[in-house]
Amino acid sequence: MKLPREQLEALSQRLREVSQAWRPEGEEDAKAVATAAGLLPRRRLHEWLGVTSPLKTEEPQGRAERTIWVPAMAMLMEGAIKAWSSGGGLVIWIGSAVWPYGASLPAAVIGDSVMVQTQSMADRVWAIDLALRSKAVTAVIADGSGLTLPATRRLQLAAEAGRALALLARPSHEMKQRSAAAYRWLVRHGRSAGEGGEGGQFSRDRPCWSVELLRGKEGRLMNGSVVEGATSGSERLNVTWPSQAARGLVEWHHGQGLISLPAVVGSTTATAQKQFA
Amino acid sequence: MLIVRTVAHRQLVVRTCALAMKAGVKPGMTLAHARALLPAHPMAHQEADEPCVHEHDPQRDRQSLARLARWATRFAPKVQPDGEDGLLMDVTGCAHLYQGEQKLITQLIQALAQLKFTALVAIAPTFGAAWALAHHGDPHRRIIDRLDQIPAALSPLPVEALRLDEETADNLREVAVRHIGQLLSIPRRLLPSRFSEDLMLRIDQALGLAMETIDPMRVPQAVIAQRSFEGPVRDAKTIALATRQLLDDFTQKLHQLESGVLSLQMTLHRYEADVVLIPLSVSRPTRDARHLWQLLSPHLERANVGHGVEMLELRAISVAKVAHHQLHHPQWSTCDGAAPMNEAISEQERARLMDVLVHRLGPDHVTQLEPMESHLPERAARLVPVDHPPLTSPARITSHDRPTQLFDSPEPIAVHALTPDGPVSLVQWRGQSLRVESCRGPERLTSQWWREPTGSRDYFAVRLHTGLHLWLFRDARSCRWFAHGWWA
Repeated sequence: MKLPREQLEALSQRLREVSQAWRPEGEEDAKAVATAAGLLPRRRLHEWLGVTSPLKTEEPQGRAERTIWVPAMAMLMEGAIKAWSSGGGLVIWIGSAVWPYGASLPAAVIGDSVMVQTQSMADRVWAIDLALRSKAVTAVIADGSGLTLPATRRLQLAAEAGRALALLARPSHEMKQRSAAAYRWLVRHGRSAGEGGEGGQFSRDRPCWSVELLRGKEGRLMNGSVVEGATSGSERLNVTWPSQAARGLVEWHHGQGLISLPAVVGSTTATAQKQFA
Repeated sequence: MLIVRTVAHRQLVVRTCALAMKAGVKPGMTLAHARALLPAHPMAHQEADEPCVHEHDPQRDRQSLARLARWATRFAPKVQPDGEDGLLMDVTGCAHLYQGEQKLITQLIQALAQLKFTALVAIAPTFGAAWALAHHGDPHRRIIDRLDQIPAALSPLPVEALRLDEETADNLREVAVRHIGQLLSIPRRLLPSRFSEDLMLRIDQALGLAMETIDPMRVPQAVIAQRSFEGPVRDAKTIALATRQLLDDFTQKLHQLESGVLSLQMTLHRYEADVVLIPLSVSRPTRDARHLWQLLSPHLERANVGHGVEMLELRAISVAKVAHHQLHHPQWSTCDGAAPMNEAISEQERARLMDVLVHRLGPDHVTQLEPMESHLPERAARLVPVDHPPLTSPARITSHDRPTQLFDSPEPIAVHALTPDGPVSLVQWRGQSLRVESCRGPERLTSQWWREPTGSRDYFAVRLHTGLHLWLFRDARSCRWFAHGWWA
C-alpha cells in the first residue's frame, strides 16, 4: 500500500514528536533551556563576582582597609525574573545579603519568591543544595561568599541534578578562590558612553555595570560572540556587547525598572553578530 | 461570661455562664439589660467590672460539638450531635463495662467536667425518653430501665420534654395540657385532628412505639504502624532501617484510605525509661515515605535512645484526603524542551521543599514577602512565614523604578549642595566623602497620616563618583538626610 506524501510527512512529524517527548527529563539540553532563561544555562552554577567594592571602610591606621561587598543584585534579579517567566516555579533567595527590595521585582515573581535565612555556612550550603535539587524551583539566588571548593563542587552537582537556574553572588575579592562553578562573571560599576565608556546610548544618571565573563566550562563560551545593541526596539534593554570580547555594558532602564543580560553563553558563532529578541 | 448575637442593631444574649444566670440574666435579654443586672451581683466585681462578652459563632459551636461527639465515642460506639448543645449516644451493651448505668453516667459527667463542660445525662430505652429526662427530669432520677416504665417516668414532665415545636406546645397549653401525663390520658384518636402529626410521632418515639435511629459520627480510622524488637536496640542504623520499614507500612495504610498525613507522632518505647515522642507536621497531606523520612531522620539522629529501644510506633494525628491527580505524560512537554510539571505534582514538590526547609531552619527563617498598605518603602512589605494565611487586604506591591536593595534601616548621611535647595554635590557616608556626579529627584512619598504624623520624604537617586547609585531621602519634618538603598 502506498501512502500519500502528506500522510507520510504527518506520520514522520508525529514520530519525531513522540521520540522527543520520551527523552528522559534529565537529559534536556542546558543550552535550550538557557535561551528561555535570560540566555543563562540552567543546571549549571553561575558565580557573580562583584560588584567591585566602590566603598571602603577606613580602619584604624596600620590596618588594611576593609571593603564592603555589594552583591550584583541587578544581574541576579534579572536572571530570576527571566527564569520565572519561562514557566513559573519557585524563586529561592538564600542569605539576607542577596534579598532584593520587593518593589523592584514584578509582583508575580514576589508571590513565588521564598526568602531563606541561615545561621551557619553548613546550613547555607545545605539549603542551596536542597533548593537546587527540587523540581519545584526555577531559580536559586544565593549568598555564595566564603564557599570552599568542595562546597562549590557539591552545588555544581546539585545544580546538574535539578532544573533550576543557579546564581551565586560572591565578593569580588574572592576571585582567586578556587571554584567548581561552570560560569564565573565579574560585575563592575560601568561608565556611560558620554563619559568615555564602552559605547552605547547611556545617559549619565542611569546605573551602569560592566559585565565580564571570566570562565565558561562549556568550552565554546570564550569565542567572543557579539551582541551589539541587543534586542533593538525593546526599550527596556540597554546593552552594548563589543565584538571579539566577553565583556559588555548593561544599563538600568529607569522607565521599566529592568535590565537584561546580553550573555552570549552557548553561542557557537565566533564573530557573527546576533540579535536576541 | 455572655454570648451575644446582634439582631437588627440590638445585641441579644444567647448563652450565659452560671454566674450570670444566678444574677438573673436570661437568654433573649438585651446586652444592656444584662449588664445592668450583673454589677448588682457580688461575684461580678471579683474578677472584672465588665462581663466577658463574646459574639455568638454558630459554626464554631457546631464544630466544637462535633469534636465533643468524637471524644464521646470512648463511652459508646454510636454518638450523634443533637441540636446546638446535645449528644445522643447509643449505650446498648456498654453499661456492663462501667459496672452499671449509674456508674456510666457518673464517669461521663466527671470526664466532661474535666473538659469544663456541665452536663445533664440520662439513660432510657428510647432516645425520646432519655432526652426528656435529661432536659426536664429530676436530677436524682436519671435512669429508666424498662420500656414499660417510660409512661410513669415521663408523666410529671412538661409537654416540651417531648421535643415539640413551640407552636404545638402553645396549642397544648391553651387547652390546659401542661404535662405529659395529661397528654397521654387523652384518647389517641382525638389528637391528630387537633394537633399536628409531629405530636403523635414524638409521643410514639418517646414511648418506643415508633422507631428512632441516629446517624452516628463516623470516627476516622486510626492509622498506626508499630514494630517491636526482640530486645532493646541501640544501634542507630538498625533503628533507622526499622523506621524506614515502618514508614512503608504506615504510608501503605494511608494509601488504602486514599489519605495523606498532616501531622503524626513517632514514639520510641525505650527500655526502662520514658518514651521519646517525636511530633511532626507537614504543610500538605502526604503519604510519601521518602519525604516523611527526610523530615524524621534529623529528629531520630538527635533522639536519646538510652539503654535501647524496644518498640517503634508511628501514629497519625491528623489525616486528610489526598486529591487524585493526573500523572505527567511525557508527550505534554513543550517544544522548547522544558519539562512543564503537572500542577498538582508541582504543588507537592513545593510543599515538600518548604517542609524540609522549615523543619531544619525554623519557620522564622523561611519567609515570603507580604504586601502592606503603605507608601513608605520599609513598610510596603513584610516578611511572613511561608505557611502564614494569605492577607485579605487588597495591598499589592507595585513594581516601580526602585533600588535593587533597601537597607535594614535608613542610614544618616551628610549632604552638601552648592546652592540652598540645589542639587546634591557631595555626600559624607560611612566615613567617606563622596562626590556626586548626577542627581535625580525629588520623588515625594508620604506615610499614612491617619496612623502616624511622620510627614513626607523627598527621595533622590544620586550617582557617586565611584559608580554606585544611592537612594537618598530628606525627611520633611526634621530636614535630615538618610541613605535608604542602592542599585547594585
